[in-house]
Amino acid sequence: MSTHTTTHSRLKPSPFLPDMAEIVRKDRLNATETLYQLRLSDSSELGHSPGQFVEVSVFGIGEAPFSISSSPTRGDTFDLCIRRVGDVTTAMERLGLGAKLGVRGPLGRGFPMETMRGRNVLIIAGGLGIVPLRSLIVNLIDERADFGDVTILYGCKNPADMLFKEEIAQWAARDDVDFRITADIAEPSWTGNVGPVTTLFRRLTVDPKTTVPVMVGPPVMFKHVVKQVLAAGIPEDRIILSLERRMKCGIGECGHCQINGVYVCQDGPVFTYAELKRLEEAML
Amino acid sequence: MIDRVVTKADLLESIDRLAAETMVAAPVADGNQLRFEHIRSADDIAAHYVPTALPPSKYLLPTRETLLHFDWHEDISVTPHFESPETIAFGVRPCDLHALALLDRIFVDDKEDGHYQARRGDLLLVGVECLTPCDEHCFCESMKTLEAETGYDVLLTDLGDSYYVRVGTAKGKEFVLGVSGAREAVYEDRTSLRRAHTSRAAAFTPKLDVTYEQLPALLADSSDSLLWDVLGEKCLSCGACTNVCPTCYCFDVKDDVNLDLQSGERYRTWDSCQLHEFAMVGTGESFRQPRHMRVKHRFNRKGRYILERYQMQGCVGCGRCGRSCLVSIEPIEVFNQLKGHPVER
Repeated sequence: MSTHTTTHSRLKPSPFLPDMAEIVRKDRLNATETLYQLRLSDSSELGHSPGQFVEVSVFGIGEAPFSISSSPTRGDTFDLCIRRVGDVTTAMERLGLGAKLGVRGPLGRGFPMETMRGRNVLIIAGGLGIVPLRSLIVNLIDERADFGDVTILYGCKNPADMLFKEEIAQWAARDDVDFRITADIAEPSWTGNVGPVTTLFRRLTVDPKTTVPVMVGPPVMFKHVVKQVLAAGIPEDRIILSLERRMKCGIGECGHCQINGVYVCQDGPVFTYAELKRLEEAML
Repeated sequence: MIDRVVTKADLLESIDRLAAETMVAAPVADGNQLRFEHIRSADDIAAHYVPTALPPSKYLLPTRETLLHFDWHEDISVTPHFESPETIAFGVRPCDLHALALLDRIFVDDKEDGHYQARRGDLLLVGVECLTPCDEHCFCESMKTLEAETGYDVLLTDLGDSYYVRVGTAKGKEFVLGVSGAREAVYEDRTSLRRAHTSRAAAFTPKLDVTYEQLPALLADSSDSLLWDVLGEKCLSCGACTNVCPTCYCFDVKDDVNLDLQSGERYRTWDSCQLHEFAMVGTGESFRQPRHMRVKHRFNRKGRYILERYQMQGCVGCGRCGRSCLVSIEPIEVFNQLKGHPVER
C-alpha cells in the first residue's frame, strides 16, 4: 500500500480517493463547535473559492461534507468549523494536533466573486450560516479595495453561543465594514438588537442597482429575507444563497443532496434565487 | 459492421465453451422469478423470460462495492480498489441495454468514475430483441426502448432455428466470429429480420397516453396534483421499486473496519430515495420527509430529471417497479392518470 501524492487533479481514477491533510490547530469555540485548521500533507494550497466545501474522512468511521470556513487569501491552511452531531464529527473531536484526515475537494460552486467585484455586498448570516460566510467575509476584507460597501447582518440565537466572537468584534470595529448583529434571545447583559435578522434589514438603505445580497442560514430565514431583498428591487439573478443538503459523494452521483433536478453538491451549494425559485424542494 | 447469422445450436455450444473459461451471466429461472446469474452451461439459460428480478446493471454497480482500502498499521495509507471481472452478459433485453447506456453516459462520460469504468471495460453485452411483449407491466414501446440502436456488443434476433446477429463493437465481432458456423447475412436473412420486426410492431402497442418526450412537461405541470397525496398514502416506502430499477443508481458511502482494527475499507452500497433518511442532513432535518414527496421525486427522476439532464430516458419501461410493488403502484397508471385527470390542489 502507498499513499498517493496528487492534490488537485480532476482525473483521478477514483473520484473517492482523498488527499491527506493534518490537523495543525484545533480551537473549541463552544459546547458543540470546534474550529479545525488543516494543511494538506504536501503543503499545497487547497485552491478553493469562498462557498465551496470539502468531504472529510476519518478512516474507519466515514466521510462527511463541511463548508470551508477560511478565506483562500490566507495561505496554505484552511479552516473547518464543525458541530459535533454524528459519527465523523464525534471522531474528529478525539483527534489531536498532527492527526491525519482525508480531504476531497474543493467541491461544488462557490460564491460568485466576479459578480461581487466592484459592487456593494450585503451579507446576511443566520446561525451557522456564519461558518461558510466567514470565508467570504475575510476574503472581502483582504481584498477590500475591489468591492463597494460591505454590510454584514448577523442573526444568532443566543449571544453566549456566538461563533468567532473575537473575530466578529474585529469586523464590527472596522470603518470599512458596516456590521450589525441581532439575537433571538435577549439576556440581561445583551445591549444589542433583539429579534430576527429581518429586523436589521428594515433599518437598512439598499441601492438595488449595485447591491449583491448573499445569504446563508436556515430555510425559514431564506423565506423572509428573500422577500425583503426582492421588495428592495434587487433582481432575482443577483440574490445569492447557499443551501445545506446531505452531500455524500460530492460529485453528483449518489443522489442524496438532490433537490428536484438539481444536485446541490455539483450545481451548488451556492445558487441564485432565480435558479431556485421554481424548485419546490429548495423550500424557499 | 457486417450482420451475421448463427444457428441456435452453434451459439449455445459457443456459450458452453465460454462458460468454462470466463464468467457468463444469463437469465436463469428460479420458480416464478428470473435472475441474472453465472451459468455453467447454456442449458441453465431460461428460454422465455420477462425482465429479471434485478437488472444486469448489478454487474456494474453491485449492491456493495469496495472503493478504497485503508490501513493505519504505521502511517495511514489509502489505496483505491478497482475490479474488472471478465463478464459476458447474455440475453440482455433492449430496455436494459438502454438503461446500461444511460449508466455509461453518467458514470463514464460525465463522471469518469474509475470504479464503474473498470467493471464496464470488461463487460460484453449480448442483447436479445423482444418480439413479443413481456406482460401487462412493461411499456417499452411508449418509452421508445423496444429498439436498441446502440449500447450492445452483439444483438440477437430470434429467427426460429437461428439468430440474426447485429454487431455493435469490435469485441462483439470477436464474440460472433468465435461461434462456429457463423456466416454473413444474406438477402433472405434480412427479409426474415424485417418480417420479424413487422410482426413485432403489431404486437407492441403504446400503453402511455403521452410520449416520453412529453413526460417532463406533464410532470412539471403536475407538481400540485392530488394524485401524489393518494400515492403517498398508499406507498409503504419499502424501496423495492428503486432496488429493481435499471436506471436507479443512488448509493450510500460507508466505512468498515477489519478485525485487526488497523485496516478497513470504504464501500458504496445501494440506497433509496424512498427511505426517509435519504435526504436527512447532519442536524437531523430531512428535506423530503413526507412520503408523497418521495414518491413524487421518484416519478420525476424517472420521467423528467434524468431526461432533462442527460437527454436520455430515465425510465426504460421495463415494468420492474410495478411488478415488484407490494401495493401495485404502476407507472403506466400514474403517468396516464396525471395526463387524464390533472387533479389540482
